[in-house]
Amino acid sequence: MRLALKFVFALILGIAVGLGATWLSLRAGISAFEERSGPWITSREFGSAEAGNRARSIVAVRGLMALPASEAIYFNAATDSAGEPLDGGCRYRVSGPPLAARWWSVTAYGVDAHLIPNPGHAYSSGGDGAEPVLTQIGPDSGLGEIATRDGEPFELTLRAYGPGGDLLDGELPEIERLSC
Amino acid sequence: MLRILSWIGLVAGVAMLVYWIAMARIPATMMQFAMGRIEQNAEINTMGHAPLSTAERRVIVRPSPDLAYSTCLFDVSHGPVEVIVEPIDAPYWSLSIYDAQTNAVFVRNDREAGGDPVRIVLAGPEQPVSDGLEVVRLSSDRGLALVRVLVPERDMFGAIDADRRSARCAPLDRSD
Repeated sequence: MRLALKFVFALILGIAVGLGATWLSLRAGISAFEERSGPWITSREFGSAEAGNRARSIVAVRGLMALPASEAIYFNAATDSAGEPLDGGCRYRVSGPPLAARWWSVTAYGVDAHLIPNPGHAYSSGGDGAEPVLTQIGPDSGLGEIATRDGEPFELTLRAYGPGGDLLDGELPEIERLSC
Repeated sequence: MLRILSWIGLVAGVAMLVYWIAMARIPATMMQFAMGRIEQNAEINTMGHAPLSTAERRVIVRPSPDLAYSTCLFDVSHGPVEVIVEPIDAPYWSLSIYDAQTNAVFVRNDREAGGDPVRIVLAGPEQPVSDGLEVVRLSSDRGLALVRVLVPERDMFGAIDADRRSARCAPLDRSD
């Protein structure tokens, strides 16, 4: 009887530890990927059958149905270039040289991975790959800027459609905090 | 001492097994969940055309607000399904096919299409398909065909929306 109880307890504890490890692994999200450039993190494994179970699970939870790296590369940032967490109450400038891609866009998401509600649908900014990356982000966004919510953290996704082979070797935009 | 080590080993073994099973199952479970939500708005094996993403419309996580999405939830269990995308007047568009495990098994964009329609047949591993058709063989019966169209400015959506509606998806024996 005592042995049976020990066995059952081991099973319950093992299941709890396994589920806890799964949750922690998914919670790490895209920051678990290893290709980094400044505040931007990416993986060449998005949408790929070659990706490991962990990478595929993170992508399924955080960005289901991503395009493979040959078609689009997704960079995610949860901090500015100084390493400070992105704060919905602050204003930021995202700027950098043209990207080796057909088109770029920068989009702000809440920590729930959904678009941030705002009356003007100011969710993103984009341009032709030949144009420099330049956009501003803040809670009192003006025309053509991306809106965030005061008091809420957020993340940025930089999408590069039709990436060139040297995109990952090039300079990515800087995320500069202007004011809070 | 040996008993304690055996017990710890059992806990660690169960934990690793649970972690491995969870990680292996999550992509298919999330895909099933997403397909269920899409199915509420469109019939199987037909192309549905969603409006531009907003914060209030939460169908998938991390939608791109710059893209117009058209989707076909396909099921090839009763036979091959044909997907056709006519050229769309937009700076970028693509057709991608995802299996039930979330893998992108086919992607073609506007440049690769070279101004021609993209016309493919989705079929199971053993399903016969006439010669001359481009076939994408799938390891799962169900999946998602996704057309992405870049909408550079939200006020351009009306024209692009009208253009993309020529994209279609239907069982091969009932296709045009």
